[in-house]
Amino acid sequence: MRTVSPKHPKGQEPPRTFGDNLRLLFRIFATGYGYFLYGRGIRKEFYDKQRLKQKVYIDEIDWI
Amino acid sequence: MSFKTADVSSHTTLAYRHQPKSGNEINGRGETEWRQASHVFHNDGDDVLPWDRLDNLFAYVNPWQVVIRIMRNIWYLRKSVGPTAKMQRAVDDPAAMTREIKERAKALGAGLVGVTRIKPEYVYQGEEVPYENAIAIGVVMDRDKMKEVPGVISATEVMRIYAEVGRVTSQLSEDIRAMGWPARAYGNPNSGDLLHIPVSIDSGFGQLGKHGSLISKEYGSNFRLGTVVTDLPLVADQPVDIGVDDLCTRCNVCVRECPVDAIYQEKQPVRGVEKWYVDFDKCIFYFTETAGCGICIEVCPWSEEDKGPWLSEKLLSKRSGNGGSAN
Repeated sequence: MRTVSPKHPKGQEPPRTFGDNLRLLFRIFATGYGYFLYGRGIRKEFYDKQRLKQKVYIDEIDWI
Repeated sequence: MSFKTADVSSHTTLAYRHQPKSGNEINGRGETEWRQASHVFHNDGDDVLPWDRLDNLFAYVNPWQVVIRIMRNIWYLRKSVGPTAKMQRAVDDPAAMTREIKERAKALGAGLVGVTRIKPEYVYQGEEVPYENAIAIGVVMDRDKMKEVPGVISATEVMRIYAEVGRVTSQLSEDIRAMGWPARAYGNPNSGDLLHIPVSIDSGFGQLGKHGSLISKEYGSNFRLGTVVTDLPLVADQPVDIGVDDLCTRCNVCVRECPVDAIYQEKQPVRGVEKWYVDFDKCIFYFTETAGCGICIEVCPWSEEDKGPWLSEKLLSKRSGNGGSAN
């Protein structure tokens, strides 16, 4: 994940604002939320199939 | 203990029905003409890569302890760019400035620090790094935790160190900008524009090993890399020969122990250069399933604590005809 904007020329990058930090924190928490809630089903299916030695076909998964 | 079992090598859970373009092809394996590297995995979020779906799955199947540290890494890297101070500190003695920067990086937590000039071969195709110098940073991992590969403990340690790399490189770049010189930090594992390994080799950290990772005399492969790019005048270090090729040519521990036979016995032509290379298409499924594997760097004799300097001395001594055995 690119954490910085490539828009500004070298040496002319603006300072981070409180709003920038807030947006980043929101993105981090959104990622965590997605991992813990949305990802739970993904991990369950993956570990179940791993235990049963079944294949998980990546191009058939519609949640990624 | 052997990591290789018939069970693992005959079965990996992840597969594609229709496999994307080979990662080896994207990496330029077999190509005899030089070209810049192309992104293949660990996307930085801007491009759509052929192996993105596996990369996304990798993020979801990581243990939560790893994910917490990924978040910490993202937070640290918020300072990777920023405004440059208007008052520029004059640098009359680049050698003294280089010493100062290295001392600062070590005080921040770096185990290895080196400097090289930016070259096109460090930069991914289509990306730009318009700076003069690269400061390579290596942060050392906890060897005891890395002995647990592959698993939650080692994967957590790897991501903890990546977050440390993010902290060290971001703070160092901020310190340089405060001196009035432009600087930008590149953390890991999604560095975006830069390949950290060639930067670190030219900065004198060590040599590329048969397992496709960098080997240093002091720490073997037991560290993770980051880079700060800057226009601050610095004195470049030189690449070093510590005898890695002498050992890797004969030693096949990583080849034997790789559960999916991804490591080549011989150097391969890759984008016009003969080098050690790991088969991406074989490695990446097991790598993803185990949250980063790491077996090859763990079994490497160079990674054994305090063995590197002795090994290097023996190998170089043997090469120069002074005897000595590295066995």
